[in-house]
This record gives sequence, structure tokens and C-alpha cells, in this order.
Amino acid sequence: MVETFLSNPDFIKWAFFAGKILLLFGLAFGVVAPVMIWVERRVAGLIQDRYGPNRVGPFGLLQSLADGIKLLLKEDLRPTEIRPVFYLLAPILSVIPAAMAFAVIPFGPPTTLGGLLPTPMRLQIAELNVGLVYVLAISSLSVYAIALAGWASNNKFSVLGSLRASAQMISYELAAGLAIVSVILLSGSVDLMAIAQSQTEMWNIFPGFLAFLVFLPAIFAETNRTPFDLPEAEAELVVGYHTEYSGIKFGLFFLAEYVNMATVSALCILFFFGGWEFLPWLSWEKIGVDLNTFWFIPTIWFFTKIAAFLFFFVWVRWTLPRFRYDQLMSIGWKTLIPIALLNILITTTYLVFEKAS
Amino acid sequence: MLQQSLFIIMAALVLLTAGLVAFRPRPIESAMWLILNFFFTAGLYVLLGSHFVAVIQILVYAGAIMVLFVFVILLLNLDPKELGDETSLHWSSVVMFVGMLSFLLLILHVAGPQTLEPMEGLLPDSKFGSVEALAQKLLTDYVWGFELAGVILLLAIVGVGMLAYRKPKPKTPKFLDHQERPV
Amino acid sequence: MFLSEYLGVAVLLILGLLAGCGAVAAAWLFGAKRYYPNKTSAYECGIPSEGAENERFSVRFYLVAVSFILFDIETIFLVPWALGFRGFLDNGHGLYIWTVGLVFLAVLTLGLVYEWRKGLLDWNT
Repeated sequence: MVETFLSNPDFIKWAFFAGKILLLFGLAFGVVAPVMIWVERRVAGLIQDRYGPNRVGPFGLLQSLADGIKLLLKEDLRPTEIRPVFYLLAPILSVIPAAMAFAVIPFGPPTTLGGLLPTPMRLQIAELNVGLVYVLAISSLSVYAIALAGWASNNKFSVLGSLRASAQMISYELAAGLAIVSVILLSGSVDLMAIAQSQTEMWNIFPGFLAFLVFLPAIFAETNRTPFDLPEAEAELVVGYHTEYSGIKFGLFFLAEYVNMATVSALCILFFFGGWEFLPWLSWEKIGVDLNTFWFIPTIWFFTKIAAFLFFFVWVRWTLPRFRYDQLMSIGWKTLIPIALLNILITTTYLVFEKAS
Repeated sequence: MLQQSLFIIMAALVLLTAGLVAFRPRPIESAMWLILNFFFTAGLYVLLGSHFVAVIQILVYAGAIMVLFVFVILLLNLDPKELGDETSLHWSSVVMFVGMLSFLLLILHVAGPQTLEPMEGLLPDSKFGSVEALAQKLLTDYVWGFELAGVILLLAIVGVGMLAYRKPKPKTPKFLDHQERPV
Repeated sequence: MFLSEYLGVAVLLILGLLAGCGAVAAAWLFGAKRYYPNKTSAYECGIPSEGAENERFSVRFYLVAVSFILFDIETIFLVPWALGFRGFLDNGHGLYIWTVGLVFLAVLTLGLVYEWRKGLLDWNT
């Protein structure tokens, strides 16, 4: 009787759904953030020719756990000047878009999990056919957390930092959106699964190289990473919009930032680097890998690419100096947006030529 | 059935949040309730099968226009004491009003004939609210509207320029000619 | 597309909300609360706060927000255009769709150039 219950297609569907959500949410919030903290500090040490944390656990691997426990047990500081409701709301508002954004990211081709599932199912939590625009919409909500955090702190530096961070984020969202328009031109779909599947012959980075050059700074600025991290730079604005946050509330901002980094890296890979395809000219099918039995290979390859991208984020952080705020804004509006507009023109020309040949 | 109950819940929440927007004393709180209102309106669009419009509602309204509103409210930085302590209407009366309205709607729905037919736009393989369907219509039948929208946006940009243009002040030189400059 | 696809979105929203609220609640539960004026006053590099509380801010933030709305809407309009481009190209109406897009882009580039020349994109933004 247990076998019939377990093989009931409805149960399998819901179990798969629950499994997807738990796995991805757990990975994003339980693995990416702690591992990224460790990677960040060790790679920082590597680049700066020193040791990173290496005391807590082998190679300092338990450092993130120690940090998490410390943040939990820190004093629940409530400065007198804050506006209480929004002070508490802002960290929660920063976690929610981070959590919602990766609902539409596919982590592999539709698969039957090696025969467990009756029909091939997508490795996507929500198979929206407007997935791409959904991701844009959710990322545009992450501005509120920053704006409210700075304002609620009622600290002059926080307000200034949060306004600057918000203005920066919305300016670079435009550049990212226009770069994405050329990806839509190339892939012909707004569904993220279809975009990934359209790159089996050739990755989008080749015709869309200019779009990638626009998209990359845009995602660095969206996640407030160096060289665009002036709003949270310690030397400039006393940590900016999260000055008055300590303990786990600061931890939530941090967590949301790392999860956003992972989501945006996954997006960049889906748009330009072929998603889970093996090499720019070779897909797994071409090599002859049997995706029915080895269904996990594209997924693992995708995660590897995300990891490489996250390493790239950290590498850039410890290599480049940060931009001054007016340089930052003028890059966003006067350089990236015109290049993105020009690129749309170039991409349409490329498509016409591709059709003609 | 699921559709109808979801619709009633969403509609009630839209009304509730709209009431809260109007009756709360602090502008930033009203702004937050308005954002929530846009989310539930997007939910209503989803129930109509217009998925693209729902996502755009969130992107443009909740993600861009409300950002402007929030910026303005934060920049104005009104003193809470200036705003007054309470509104003329207590929040409980608003909640009761909306609750009664929703209850009335529920009664009407249960008692009235079942005229809601299942929407074909919500069937699994329907292309109704997708971007492709919109693109087809927009670029053939309504292409002049498409271009006109661009012109209207241009007008808005010009309007912003006129609102905010300040003549650049002539720069006074740091050192006047007769002063000694440091070497 | 199924309506039930949004269930995943809703579940993630609730999970994110729970994680956030849980963390804030954990801070309230586990954190000490030893407040004294030096600690709880607004942080200004250790010195007591000076300067007015409500300073005036530059209007450029408002300009950035409004320009963002307008160009965001432009991007939204470009999404269906980009989606339909290939289809029209395959049907032989490539020139038509290209012109439609070009006119729209030209109108908005004009807007960008106008803002640039007027100096609205300068210094802060």
C-alpha cells in the first residue's frame, strides 16, 4: 500500500515541488551565504598575501557558523532615534525579494530524475512564462529595504547613504534591463528555460558580447559590490545605510546581499553563458551524455559556473578601487545606457544578417 | 471554485489596503500599504490570466513609481508631530467597513446565480496573457499606440527637464588674480 | 500556464518572511538589552550628533527617480518588441519591425540626449 501511495502521480508531483523549494531555499540561505562569507575572507587573504580565517575549524571552515552564532547572540540594539516599525521592517524587506527572485531560475533541463518522475519536469520552482520580467520586477523591489533602512535609522549618514544606494540601484537597473532586451532579441523568449535551451548551438555571449559588457557592471552595482559599493563603504559613510544595525538584523542585509549575488550570477550565466551547457559549441547531448541516467550533470555544471562567478565577484572586490559617487552615476547613465541602446541596434542588425545567411 | 475564492480574498485585500492607504496618519505607512495594494492588484490580474500585465504592474507601479513616492516622502522628512496624532477616522472603523463590504459581496456571490464561467485564459496551455500574445497585438494592430507611447514618454522627459532645470551658476575662481597661489 | 505556478512564488515569499521575522524575533529573544545613552545615540564617529536633524536634500534624487520611471517604461515596451522581432523577421516583415523599433528607440534616445544636454544627468546623477 505504501508503494501505491508513493507512486501516486499527484503525491510525486507535490513531493517534487516541496523538494525543489526546500533544496533551493536551503541552498540559497543555508549554503551560499555561509560559504560565501568564508570564500570572501579567504580569497581576500589570498589576494592580499595573508591568511584568511584559519583558526575556527579546518581551514577556518567553521568561521561562518561562529559568525552566525555571534550575530544571533549580539545585543539587540535599538538606538533611541529610530522609527521602530520601519527599523525592524527593513531587514525583512531585504530578505523577501532575495528569496522570491530565484523562484524562476531553472537549474537544469527538464528531467525525469533518472526515472523517479513519470514525465520530465522542470527544475524550476515556478515555471512562469514571463519569468524574465518577473525577475526584473522582484529585483526592483530590493530598493525599498535600503531606502527604509537608512531613513528609519534617523542618522544623517544613514539617510544619505541609503538615498545614494537607492539612486545607484535604480540607475543600474535600467542598464541591466536594456541589456536583457538584447538577450530577449537573441533568444526569442522571455521564459528563462527557453533562453537556456536556445543556447545549445552557441552561447549568447558571442553575439551578445556588448550586452554582457553592459550587464556585468550593472549586476555589480545592483548588488552593491565593489567597485560600486560606495553606499556601504566604511571609510566614506560609516557603513552607510546599515550603520545603526547590529547583530542578526545586519546579518539579514548581508544574507540578502549574498543571495542576490548568487541569483544575479545565475541569471548572467543563463543569459550569456549557456546555462547548463557544457562548452560554448558543445552541448551535453552532442557529447553523448545520456541525460536520462546522468540527469544531475547539467545541474552540477550550472552550480560550478555559479561558483566561478561568485569567485569572480570576490576577486573583483579585492582588486579594484571603488568609484566615486558622481563617477558611478555618470557611468550608469552616460556610458552604460547609450551602449545598451546601441547594442540593441547592433543585435537587430546581427539577427537580420543571421537570417539572410 | 478556487478561482472564485481567490478572487474574493484578493479583492477584499485590495479594498482593505486601499482603505489603509487613505486613513493612516503617516505618509510613509500609506506608501507601504499602497505597495501591498499593487501586489494584490497584480494578483487580480493573474486571476484574469494576464500574467505579463501582472508582472509589469509590480515592475512599474510597485518598483518604479512607488520608489519615487517613497523618495519624495523620505526627502521631505516631515516631523511626525506636524502630521497630527490621529486621523478623523479610526482604523477599526475602516476595517469594519471593508469587512462588511466583503461580507456583502460574499453573500451576493453565494446567493446569486453562478455566472462565472471558467476563463479560457486560465487553461494550462493558453497563450492568453503571455508576452507573445501581447507582442502580436501590440506590433500589428496597435503599433501607432506603441509609437505614441514613446512620444508621450518623451514629453514626460521634457517635462521633467523643465521642472528641474537650474541655470548653472558661473563658477567663481578659487584664487583672484592678485592673490598669491600656493606653490 | 497553470495558476498553480504562482504557488511556488507564494511559498518562497512566506519562507522569506518567516526567515526574516524569525531572525528579528531571535535577536529580540536572545540579545541582551543593556542600553545606555552613549550606545543608543545616533552614530557619528563617536562624537555627539551635530548639525540639524532634517537637512534639505538635493533635488537630483527626485530627478533620478523620475527618469528611472520613464526609461523603465521604455524598457517594458521594448520587451514585447524584442520578443516579436524574430517572428516578424521570419515572416518577411523584418524591415517593418525594425523600423517600428528604431522609431521608438530614436524617440527615447532623443529624450536621453535632451536630459544629458540639459545637465540633468550631471554630478549626483
